[in-house]
Formats: sequence, C-alpha cells, structure tokens
Amino acid sequence: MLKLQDVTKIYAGKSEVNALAGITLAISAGEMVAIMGPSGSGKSTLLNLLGGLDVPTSGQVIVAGTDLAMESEKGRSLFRRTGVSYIFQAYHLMPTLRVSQNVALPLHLAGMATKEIETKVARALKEVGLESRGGHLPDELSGGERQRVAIARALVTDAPLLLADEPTGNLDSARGEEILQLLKRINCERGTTIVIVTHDHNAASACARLIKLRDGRVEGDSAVAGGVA
Amino acid sequence: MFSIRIVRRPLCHLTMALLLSTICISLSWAGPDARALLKESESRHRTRTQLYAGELTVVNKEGKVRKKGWKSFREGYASDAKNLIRFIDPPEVKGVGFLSLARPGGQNPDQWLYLPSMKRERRIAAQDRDASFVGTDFNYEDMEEFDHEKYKVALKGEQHLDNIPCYVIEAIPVEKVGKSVYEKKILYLRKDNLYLFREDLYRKGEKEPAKRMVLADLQQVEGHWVARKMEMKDLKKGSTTTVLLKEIVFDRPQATGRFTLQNLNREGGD
Amino acid sequence: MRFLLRTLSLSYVRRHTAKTVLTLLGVIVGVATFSSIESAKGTLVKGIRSTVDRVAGKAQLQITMEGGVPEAVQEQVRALPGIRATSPVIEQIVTPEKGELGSLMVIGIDLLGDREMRDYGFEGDDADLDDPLLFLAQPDSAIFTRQFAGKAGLKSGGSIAIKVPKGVKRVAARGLLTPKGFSEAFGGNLMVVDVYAAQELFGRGRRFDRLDVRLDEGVSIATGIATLEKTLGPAFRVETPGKRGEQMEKIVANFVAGFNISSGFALAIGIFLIFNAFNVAVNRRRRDIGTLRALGATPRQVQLLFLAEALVIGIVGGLLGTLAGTTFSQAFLKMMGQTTETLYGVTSSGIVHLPPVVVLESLCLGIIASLIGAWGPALTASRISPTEAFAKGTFQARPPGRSGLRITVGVIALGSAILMALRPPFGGNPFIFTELLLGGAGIVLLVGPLTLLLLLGLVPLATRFAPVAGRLSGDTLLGNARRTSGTIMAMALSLTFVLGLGGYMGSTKKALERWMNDSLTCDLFVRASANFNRPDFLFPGGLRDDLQQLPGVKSVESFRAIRPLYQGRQIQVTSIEYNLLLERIKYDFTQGDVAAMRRGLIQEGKCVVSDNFSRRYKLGVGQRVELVTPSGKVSFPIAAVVRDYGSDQGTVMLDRSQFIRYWQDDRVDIYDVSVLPGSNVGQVRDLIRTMLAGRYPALVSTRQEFIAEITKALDAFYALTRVTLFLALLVAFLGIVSALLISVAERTREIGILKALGAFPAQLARGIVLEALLLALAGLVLALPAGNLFAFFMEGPLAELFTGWIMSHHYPWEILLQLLVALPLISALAAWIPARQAGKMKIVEAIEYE
Repeated sequence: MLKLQDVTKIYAGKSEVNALAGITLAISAGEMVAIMGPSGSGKSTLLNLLGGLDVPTSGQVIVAGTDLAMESEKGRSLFRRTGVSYIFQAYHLMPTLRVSQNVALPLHLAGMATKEIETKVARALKEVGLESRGGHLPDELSGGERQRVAIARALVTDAPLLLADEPTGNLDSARGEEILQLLKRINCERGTTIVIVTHDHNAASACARLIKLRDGRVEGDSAVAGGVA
Repeated sequence: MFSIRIVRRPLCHLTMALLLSTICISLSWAGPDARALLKESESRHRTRTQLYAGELTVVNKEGKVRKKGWKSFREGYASDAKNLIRFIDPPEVKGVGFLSLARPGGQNPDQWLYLPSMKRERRIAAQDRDASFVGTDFNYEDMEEFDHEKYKVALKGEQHLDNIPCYVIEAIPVEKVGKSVYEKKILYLRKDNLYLFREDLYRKGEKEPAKRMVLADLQQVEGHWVARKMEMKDLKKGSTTTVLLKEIVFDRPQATGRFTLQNLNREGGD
Repeated sequence: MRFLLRTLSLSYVRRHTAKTVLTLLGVIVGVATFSSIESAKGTLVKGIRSTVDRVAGKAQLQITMEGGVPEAVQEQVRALPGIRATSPVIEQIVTPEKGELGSLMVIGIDLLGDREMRDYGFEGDDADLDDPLLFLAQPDSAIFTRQFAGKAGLKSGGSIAIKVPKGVKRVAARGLLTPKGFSEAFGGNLMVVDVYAAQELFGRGRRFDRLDVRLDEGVSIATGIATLEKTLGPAFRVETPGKRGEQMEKIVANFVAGFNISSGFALAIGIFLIFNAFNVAVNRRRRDIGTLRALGATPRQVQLLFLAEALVIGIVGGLLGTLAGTTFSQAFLKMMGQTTETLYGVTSSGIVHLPPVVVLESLCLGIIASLIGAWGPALTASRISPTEAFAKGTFQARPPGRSGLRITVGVIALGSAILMALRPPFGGNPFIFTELLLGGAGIVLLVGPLTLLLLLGLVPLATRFAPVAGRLSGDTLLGNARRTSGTIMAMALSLTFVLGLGGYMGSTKKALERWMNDSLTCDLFVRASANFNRPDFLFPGGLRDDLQQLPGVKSVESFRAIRPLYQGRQIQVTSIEYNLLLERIKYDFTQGDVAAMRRGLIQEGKCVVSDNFSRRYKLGVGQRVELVTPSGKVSFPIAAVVRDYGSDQGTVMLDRSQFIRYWQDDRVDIYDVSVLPGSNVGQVRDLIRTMLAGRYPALVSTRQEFIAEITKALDAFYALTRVTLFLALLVAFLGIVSALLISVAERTREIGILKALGAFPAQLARGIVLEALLLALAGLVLALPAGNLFAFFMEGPLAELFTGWIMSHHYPWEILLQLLVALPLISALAAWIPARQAGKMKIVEAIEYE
C-alpha cells in the first residue's frame, strides 16, 4: 500500500532544515499505524509527503503503486481527491460552511452529482454520529464534534488511506478516546489504512504498529501490544 | 381695342367691375372665342388708377377671426401695373407695406414686403409665390394681375351659378418666362356684363381645385361696376379670407414716386 | 465550481461586507465614470449631428463663409439653374434668464419662404402661425416648441426673458411648434425668429450664417456643388448638411476625447482597488485555500474560483456602475456642452440616453477590469501549497517574479519614456500611447520597491513622535508589503495625475497670463460678444470714429478675428491697426524684429505668424501663407514670427487695411481703447456705455477685468482636469479606506491583545490614523517626482505636438499645498470607519480569532 524509499526532505531558507534524512519504510493495506516522535522529528513532514501535500527532496513515495514524487501538481491534486483523506489537528473546517457542506466539499471538488453527494454525506455523518448536526456551522460545535466532522469529511470520499495529524491533540481524554474508537472502527469495518501522527500515547496504543521518528530518521518500528491486529 | 384682363388683385377686380358696369354689353354679343371674351371684359372694366380702403377678414376652420385694414393704390394696368398696399390697422401691423411692380415680357412682377420693425424691405422670391400673403388665403401669385396673354384659354361651355348665367373659361399658364403656382384656373364670367363671378384655382398635379374666389355685392361706383366683396376660400384648410372694399375712388392722379422702394421704406409713406 | 462560489465565496462576502462593498466601489467608480462620460459624449456628439440634420430639413446643400454669407449672395444663388429654393439661416445659442431651462438654440429663418426647406408642424389651435403678419411686424416675435413652452410655462402670446448680446430681451411666443422633425432639433430647446430680426439681434449686419439650398429635382448633389462653387469662388464652402454635421461632430469629438483620460484613469484605479482587495482576500483565506488544496482542489480550480468571484464582482459592479453612470452623465453632458459651446459655439441639449453599446462596453470593461485586477492574486492563490498555508505565523503569499528583475525593467521603462519625451521618435497618438504605457509601467514597477524603502525611512520618524502607535502602524505597513505597496501605488498614480495635470494647467495659465499682461495693454476693451471663440455679435466698423471722438480717448484700434480652415485645421486670422498697436505692445520675437514687422504689415502687405503656427506648419520669415479670402486665394509673405497664445492652432496677423481689402468685411470684434494720460478710465468707460446704450451690446471691460474674463473662459476648458482631480482624490480616499479596513481585520488578534493589555480605543484609533497618514504621505512623496515627469511630458512634447506652444514649467505649488491640507483630512476621514471597528472589537473573540 505505502512504500517510502530513501526519502529526504530539506527545507531551504535562511538556514537549511533537514526535516527527513533518509527514510525507508512500508505500510501494508489495512494497517493502522501510529507515528510518534518529539517536535521537529519530521512527523508532520512525513505525513504531508504521504498525503501528496508535499514532494520529497529525494527518494520515492509510492502510494498504491504511484510515485507521488514524480506526479505533477495536478496529478497529486487528483490523488488527494480520491486516494487519500486527511484529518488535521486544527480540523481545518471551512468556518463559513455548514457541517454538511464541509463534508460535501471534496465530492464537489471532484465534480460529483448532487444527488450522490447528498447520500454519501448523510452516510458519513451517520457513521460519525452527527446526523442531526448537518445544518450547523463549525463554530457552533464542540471540539470533539468538529473533529468528527473532519473525520466524516475524510470518510466521505471512501479513500483507501486516511492520514490523521494529531487527531486528539486538541481534545480532552474522553473526547479523544471517542475519536480513537471511531478511527479503530473505521479501520476494522472498512479496512481503511490509517496513519496517525501523535504525541499521545493513548492514541499510539490504539494502533497495531508504532513507528518512532527522531531527527528525521526512523528510530524504532514495532507492533503494539493490545493494538488493532 | 382694349384688351380685357381679369385681375386677381382686389383693386383689379374692382376696376374690371367698373368697366363692366359702364359698358354693359348684351349677352348675345359675346362670341364663342374665350380670348375675345376676356379682351372685351378687360376693355369694359379697365380704369387708369384706383384707390380704396380694404377691410380684411380671415376666418380659419375653427372659426377664429382676424381682422386688418389697409389702403390700396394702383396705377397702370396689367403689364405696366404698379400697386402699393399699406396696412393701417391693427396698430401692430400699421406701416407694413407691399409693393408690386409689373415687368414686361411675361415675367413675374417684382414684389417687396416692408416691415417697419426691421426698417427694411424684403424681396419676395419666386420660390415664395405660393406663400400666404400676410396670413390670408391669398398667396403672392394671387396678388398679381391676371394677364390672359400669359395663359392658354379655352371656352368650356356655359353654366348657371346662383341663377346667373356664366361663361366657363379654362386658363392654363404658358410659363414661358415666369413660373406659376397653378396648373390651371377655371374662370366663371357673367354673361350679362362680362364681370368675373368666380374663379377655381388648381395647384400643379392636383385634380380638385385648391382654392375658390367669389366676387359678390356688385355695385356701381363713379360709373364703374365693382364687386365690393371678394372672398377667397382655401378648400383644403377650410379657411376663408374676405376683403370688403370701401372709399373707392377711380382715375385720380397719383403722387409721384409713390410706387418706388424708397416710398415703400418710408414709414407710413403712401 | 458553482458550489464553491455559492458557498465559500458568498459566505466570505457575507462576513466581509464592508470589504466587498469597497471592492465593488472600485469597479463602480471606474465603470460609472466611463459610462457617464461615454454616454454624455455620445449624446453630445449625436445631438450636435442630429441638430444639424434636423435644422437642415430638406436642404441638400449649405453655403457658409467665414464671417458670414452676404445677403446679396442669396439673389445670386437663386438665379442659378438647378436651384429650386434657397433659404437664409442664422443660428445662435442663447440662454433664457431662467438658466434652469437650459440653452436655447435660436434659428433665424425667412418665415416668408422657408416652407420649401423645413416642415414646421404647426398643429391644433394655431393651425398656422397665429398671424404671420403680426409675427413679422413685431420684432420681439418668436416661435417655440411645445416642449419648451411647456417647460417654461409659456403660452401662445406670453413672453419670456432671453439673454442676448444686447442685454436681456423679452420675446413673445407667437406660435408653437409640434414636436416632430425640425422642432426636435437641439432637444426641443428651439426658438425660431425671423432671419432679419436675428441679423439685428445678433449683429450679423447684412449677412447670414449660411444659405440652405434645395436643388431642382433631377439635379445631382455633385452638380449642385460644382455649379455653386464655380459661381461663388473658394471663400465659400458648399457642403451637404451631413458633411457639415460630420465636421462639427469631429471637432467636438476631438475635444471630448480629452475626457477619455479621466475615463481611463478611473478604470485603472478601479483595477488597482480590485487588485488590492483580492490580494488581501487571498492572504486572508490562505487556510481555506490550503484546506481546499489538501482536499484535492487543483491549482486551476483555486484560480478559477477567484476569477469567478472577480467575474461576479465585475458584473455586479459593471451593472451598478452603469446605473450610477446614468445619473452623472446628465451633469457631464451639461459641463461638456457648456465647454463646447464656449469653445466652438456648438452644443446640444437634451436628455442622455444610455446607448446599448455603452451599456455593453461598460459591463465588459467592469468585467475585464475585475479580471485583470484579480488575475495576479488568483494566480498567487493557486500557487499556495497546502503545507505553506497551514504553516503558523505571519504568512505572505509570494508574488510571482523577482524584485531585482522588477526594478531593472521598471528603470528601463521609465528611462526610455523620459528619453522618448526628450527626443520623440514619432508623433501623434502612438507617441502619447507609448509614452503613457512606458511611463505608467515604469512607475507601477518601481512603486513597490520604492515604497518599502520610503517606509523604512518614514517609520522610525513616526515612531519618534508616537512611540507605540508609530511602531505598531509601521510594523503593519512593512509587514504587509504587498498590500501597502498596492495602496500606495494607487495613491501615487492618482496624485501623479493630479500634480501632472495641475502642473500642466498651471504652466499653461502662467504662460497665457504673462502673454496677456504683455499684449493686452490698452485701458478699455469694448466687446460686442461675451463669447471669445464664436462672436455672437459684431460691431460695425464705423463705430471707431464715434469712439474716438469721446473726450478722454487717446486712440482706438479695431480688432477682428476670424477662424478659417488652414490645411484642415481651424487657425485664427487676426487684424488690427498695427501702426497704433505697435506703439504700445512689445512683441517677443522668435524670428524677425519690430522694424520688419511694422514695415511688413503696414507697408508691404505681409503677415506675421505666431510661434506655434510657425512650428506647426514649418513656415518662417520669407515663406508665404496662402489664405482663402472672398477675393480669392491670397499668398501673404511672412514678415516676422512672434510669441502669441491667441489660438492653440496658430495665428496669422494682418493689418486691418489688408483684412478689409481682401475680406471686404469691416466689422469689429473688439475695440481696444487707450485713454489720454490723466483721464479717468472709469469716466471714459461710462461715456462709452452711454454712447452704446440701446444701440449695441456694450461689454466694456478694463484691462484687469478683461484678463480675468479670459482666464475664466480658459478655466472652462480645464473642466475635465478638475474631474480627474476629483476622481483622484476619491480614489485616494477609497484606497486608504479599503487598505485600513483590511489592516484592522488582519490585526484583529493583535488589537484584541492590545485591548486586553489595557489599550484605549483612542490609542488604537491613533495608530490607525497614523497608518493612514503614513500611507498618504508615502503616496505623495512618490507622486512628487512622477507628477513632475508627467507635467513635464504634458507641457513639453504633448503640448508642442498639439498646439506648437512651448511653455516653461511652473510648479503647481498651490495644488501641492491643497494636497498637503486635504490629504491628512482625507486620510483621517478614511481611518474613521476602521478605527471605530477596532474600538468596538470584543477582546475574547479577537484573541481567539484565527
């Protein structure tokens, strides 16, 4: 499903930053993986590369057989539309759009028919338990609810890969637990490959595999006891 | 032999009427030749000079009435006629003058209008011959003497008008030199005294008469027949202009220089 | 895309109504200016044309002559073969005493015979002129259209006061025209009088303005023209009414084309406002853009979204602008009409109809302006990568292109513009266009970098005066370099126009004033006509003797000017008694000297030409000027070239004796009266007035008054500059308001923190006002040299190209002073709304604001 080969990422600027210093790893389809590491270890950069938001300085990022590093801007946009879905720590919901509109956004970008969009949005909202909140604005929701909207937006495209950046980072432990259960369920029921970047050990332990990063390198890669199989 | 000319100007009609009254020829005298009839008519009604005071009334279709008064002076006849009209009433038009001097060889006469407000005369151009003479139903051509030599004439028969037997004569302008507004004129000449009774005027290219003039109230003044009432009807516009002739005097000597531009331009110059 | 527009864009608009309105205003101001000027222009030009056509009636040809067609020509023409009718016409524009009725076109015709020419459409009550004899016999008679009579509350028989050269005169309505055909000319503001009364009323002597000619059927126009030209000679012009209308249209169109500058300027400013607004919107919405991109939106989709928004703004702004334009266009029409009336004696009156073409053009312009303005920002938006968008901290969308290249290109463009102005490689409109393009591009490219440089210098200065506010506003301005430079660029361009046009106006006026002081040296000017360009009354030549006999009068000269065509342009030919004039005027000679001038003009029958004439037609001393006179073509050798600002198209000066000899016209425009030493000018003036009273118009001015009147007339000419000035200030205002509103919104969080720390609303307001002042000041400082360049270009190469005049530069200090007073006020005013917004901000919300 996912394969990284000698991936480096250097940010040019006043002083060069070696965000990733040669990473090689593989993630199979249906896995639920946590990536941990201290600030500046390259977690978010790695996630951005996996999601096609960014391109590596060198190396290959192969997702579902395609090398994202070689894809055009447009190709990567299309990949983001259908091949991957994203959950952000800051949710990144459109503050001016209603919940259902936020969820529908990627489908609209893909130019799907309105009828179909409505069905899919309703299903996604039901899956995250927000079927009654479709008409609200994000500002009117709690943090946990907002994150669930973000998850619904990620689910709605039926993408095989789900990337989550600190999904529980802004939530209290109870709300965080709810979100993790939801992700686990999605992993089990839909077989979606999930990669979570987190500081939270609870979150990490919800996963079957834990990859530790430090200074842009893989420090450890192990199965998690009690995690999802 | 005097040649008879039926004149269209009020003063000329008067002259003709007077001539008719003095000579008084029997009906049977008139031959079938239109030219001879017209010559005879002119010879009967001709006078040397004529003066009168005219009362002018214009009634338009809606019945609105406008009145004016003038004095008319004439000397000579037809091809050598000189005519001056000076308005005396109402005050707004007092002093307005009209001078017409005949020109030889069948040319149209020279005509000028004097306006005291401008202190100058203006010439009436050939293109303006159909324009209304000071708002009446007469146009500037109607103000000229009728010279039968400028027309091709033909007797078209006889007809009773108001129980008066008349000769019907058709006159078509020859237009060798001077142009005319009209295509033809139909004259109705009284058989009893060869005085003009009615005239129908046809504009160019028209089948129906545009205007009709009727001479009425025939009286004898100083031994001359004269119609004291002249009526011009515009059959299209539905308006009528009537001229009543008063203080008629014949054959008096005229002041020298009366019929000149200088005199016309002299305010109140008679 | 439709979904995105409907949801994302619309909700953005809803949240940022004020900003959207400002963006819209940019388009509206631009489009409104354009559409109102265009439609007023169209109405004016078409009105003039249609008036010519309608007044011409059935006339197929019109005979005109410089100075008027002598009466006798009418008889001469009537006698020609193929002529069916002729009719004399005098045309004059007058104003009723009640000015709100608008200008009246007086048409003098020969009522006795004019029906061959025009259809008067008398109907109803006065199925004819109520009484033609009453009409003609009374000199105060006039016919009005029913439209005008209705407007003026005039009934048949009633009277109205009209300003004519001789003073105010009451004329009586003795007939009403039904509005059709002829009587619709000049928007129905028509007064028909007897042509001979008009001669008297307008001092035409025994001349007509023109003779209308109708040909016999079967006679072709070409034959008619040939016959008439052969009979009348070259001094007469024989044209069809269509051709004449076309020519008048051309003259006026050339003049009103000047308004295109204002129009284009307004649009350019609109583009800047849009550019600025979109730039800011892109920055503000970067996270949204990032999210969209993360969700799979392609760069093209993002770009299209912004362009679609621009399109909507363009359409809405275009529509509203067109609507707003219609309201202004009437005022524009009035202003343009007055100016063309003053300058060319032609104008049209009426209601502005918005032609569909103008509506379409305005809409298209609105859309195009929006798209151009939004293009760059949209492109920038599409290039935002999601990772950048989510990065924390201040974010600046990187403008495409590098500053080094930008500066280089800017310097090259501006430099070549200056070089070209110094040595124009080609002339005409291409030259102006190239100059404006190069100069404009240079300035636009250089303003950004210069702005930053300037602010870096200005901010520490401001900080010294107001430590907190200065630091804050400085940081904001420098932190948002792109927005700041955008705003300053718009301002600098506006002010460049103001200073440039103002400088040009000032220089021209200064040059003219100097010339007037040198050449208008006599004590009293006795004029017959208030209009300097088209005399509406001329004195008879004999009046000079009467004037000379008045006690206290030293000498009297008779000045006469006509404006014949020379090589297709309307030049001025002036004449005066030079033996007297040269006693009191010192000419500034470009070629030749006083002796040569005196000898040439008085003894040798030569002419003297103005410097601009000499330059335009490349003629100098020893060469000849061929003029068409009623006596045929006459070739005058040039005796001298002198500096003269009498006509922007060039002046040829002749001695009065020569003029009378060749033009056979002794009428006089102005009597220049010099008073004996020791005599009282006021007393002589009173004597002249008494003498002329009732006989002639008596506009007797002293030297100072005369100069003041000319200056006033010149000011009318510069009306368009004032429009531009006003627009520039409006734009400056809009620019500052939008920039500040955006700045406040951007700093919501910062303002919230400041308030949390105990800042008073007044302190915040001071910071914002300071920001506004810095913006205005920077704009002004940049505009100073740019405005100078612009003024230099207008006074130099441009003026020389169009008028042949060379003027020395006069710095528009007074405008600069006005700006120095007005700009801070405008800035403070512009800062008011944003400052209030900042003051009312709730702290908690502001701090949480992302």
